[in-house]
Amino acid sequence: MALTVDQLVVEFPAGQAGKRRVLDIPAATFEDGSRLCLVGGSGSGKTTFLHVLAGIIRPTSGQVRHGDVDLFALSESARDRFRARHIGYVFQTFNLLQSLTALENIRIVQTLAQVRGKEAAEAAGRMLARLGLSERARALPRSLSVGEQQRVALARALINRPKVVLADEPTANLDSRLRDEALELLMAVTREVGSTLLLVTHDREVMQRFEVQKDLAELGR
Amino acid sequence: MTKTQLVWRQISARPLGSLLTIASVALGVMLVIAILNLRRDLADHYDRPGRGYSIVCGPHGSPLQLVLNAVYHVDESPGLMPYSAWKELAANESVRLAVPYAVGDSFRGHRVVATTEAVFHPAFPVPDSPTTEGKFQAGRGFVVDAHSLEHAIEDIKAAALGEGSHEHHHHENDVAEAVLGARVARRLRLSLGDQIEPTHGVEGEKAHDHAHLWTVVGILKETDTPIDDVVLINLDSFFRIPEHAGGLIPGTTEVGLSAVLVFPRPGIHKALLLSSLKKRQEFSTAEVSSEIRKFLGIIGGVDGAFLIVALLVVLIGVTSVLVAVWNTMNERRREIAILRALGASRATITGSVVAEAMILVGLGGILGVALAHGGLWLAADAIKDVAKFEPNPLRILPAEYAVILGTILAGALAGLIPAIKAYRTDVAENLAPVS
Ligand SMILES: Nc1ncnc2c1ncn2[C@@H]1O[C@H](COP(=O)(O)OP(=O)(O)OP(=O)(O)O)[C@@H](O)[C@H]1O
Ligand SMILES: [Mg+2]
Repeated sequence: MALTVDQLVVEFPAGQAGKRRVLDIPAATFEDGSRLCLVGGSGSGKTTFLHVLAGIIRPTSGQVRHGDVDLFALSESARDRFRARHIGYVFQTFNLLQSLTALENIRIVQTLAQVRGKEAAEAAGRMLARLGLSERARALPRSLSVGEQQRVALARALINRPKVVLADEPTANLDSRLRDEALELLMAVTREVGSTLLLVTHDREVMQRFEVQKDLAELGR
Repeated sequence: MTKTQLVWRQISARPLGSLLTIASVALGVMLVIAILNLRRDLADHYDRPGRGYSIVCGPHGSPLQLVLNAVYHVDESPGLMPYSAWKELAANESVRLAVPYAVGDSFRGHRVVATTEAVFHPAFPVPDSPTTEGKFQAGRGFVVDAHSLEHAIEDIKAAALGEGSHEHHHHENDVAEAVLGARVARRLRLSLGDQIEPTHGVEGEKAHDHAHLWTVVGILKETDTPIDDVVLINLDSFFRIPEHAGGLIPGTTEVGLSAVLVFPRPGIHKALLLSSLKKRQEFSTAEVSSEIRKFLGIIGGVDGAFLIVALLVVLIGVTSVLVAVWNTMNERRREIAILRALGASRATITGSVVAEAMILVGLGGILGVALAHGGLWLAADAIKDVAKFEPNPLRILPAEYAVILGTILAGALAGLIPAIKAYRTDVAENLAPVS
């Protein structure tokens, strides 16, 4: 049930009727529960790659398979549903929903993944407790500290026990203490859940925590 | 955290803007509902009580005034028509029933109408009953004694010619009896056997007493029509009051009546009667239903214009919701992109924007209905003073549900426009970190 990529090409329009090839990955496989640190220069297409893996951007050509699910053979709404259930995404800027409380930011992804009922509520409570956020459950994002916001973002990405966690420079906005804390949490919880983790970073300290590091340009070659 | 809660958070995240748009919808809906209710109250007040009446004959003047006076018991009587015309009408073979009215007296704020037992005939529309007995909640009607009536008339004529004294030739069958409308009896706490003493003219001014007493012999069933507020007395007793200025048509020696209510036989007779009566010089004739239609038509035209204005106000309110939601779309592009990245479908996003507009408009609609009914309740007394009819603030008209539904539907349409913008929001582009 690995995550595989085949003949993946992403081109963006550039100039007058021109095209720019941002991604070109012949083949790559990410085994279940594996962890990979993706590096690459700015503008090399790392974010674009994660978007494609999550089904947010449709590639110009090629395939993305989550197990035996061909992501882009699904209808758009089926792909949205798949993303809600099986993919956790951590953004550089947290991207919490500002009108929702910490708890609600977590509950909304349960709703989107159609995880409902008492068990869902308890799972959200446990997750907040696990990340030391129980006291802040009813706080709005703007009244949370940066570290707390990042933990809510992690909780949100992990609450549905996704098969794949995609993290796009999750520590770029954090000082070293918060960075270490966030990384530890991310590592620990993805291990508990058994998720595949793909993390993009520029930070050498972060890279060193991973056994496997790959430059995007070398992926699949 | 349901999707509805999510929508509600969007609304409460901008409390002032949301309140203003809700208020602007509420204002329009309030006007529409108030106008619908008032026009219904007005129609109820004039339409329903007029049912069953057919033709009113009376003095020259506006036919509408004749109808308002004889059927609704509002306004001063416009004058007198010849007494002899009643006799003639009663004898006409197209006429089933002719009911004479002589007005001019009042009893503690209630109009006194002098008439005959014809008013208790089953063909008389109020109270509605196939039998005379069925019209009474207590007691009985009076019966005008033909001899007493003739004597009273002769006495008036004689007095007018200076022949007789004011002394009356009392007849052994002379009685003075009153039948009360249901509300008169209730308000004044009168019951059978009580003696009442009507006064001449409008009360308040120094009215001189007749020093005559009428005995209450019957109380009519409640009808929710103007007859409930009327005191009926037997016609001969009215004419026996010597001071009655109303007895004679001014400048003549003719005895006068205020009106004659005519009920034709079924079929062609009404048309026949109308065409012959319209030619008469001594009195004028009004057809009740057409006068009411004309009257309500005038009012209907006026409030129709108000209704259009009110609907425009609703439209402006709904448009303000559209604009308000549209204006938030720019700042919400990021939130939409985040939701999509978390797995929300385009349909969910679009639906939530439409739902937001519908909730804003719906709340405005409900608030508007509440305000309209509350306002009518508060203004009920003032409306009654000015317009002479009482609004019914606790009744919800079927049309109100239609208004609410239509408004919410308009809200859905208004929400569709920003929703299309939300639908098109590009996820990857709007997820990019803002620097
Ligand atoms: N929607 C788009 N249209 C056109 N060009 C785009 C679009 N999105 C990204 N690009 C371009 O594609 C390239 C790869 O962008 P991407 O964001 O994936 O890079 P990145 O590796 O994440 O860079 P960074 O390390 O700075 O975040 C960039 O040159 C960018 O300008
Ligand atoms: Mg990037």
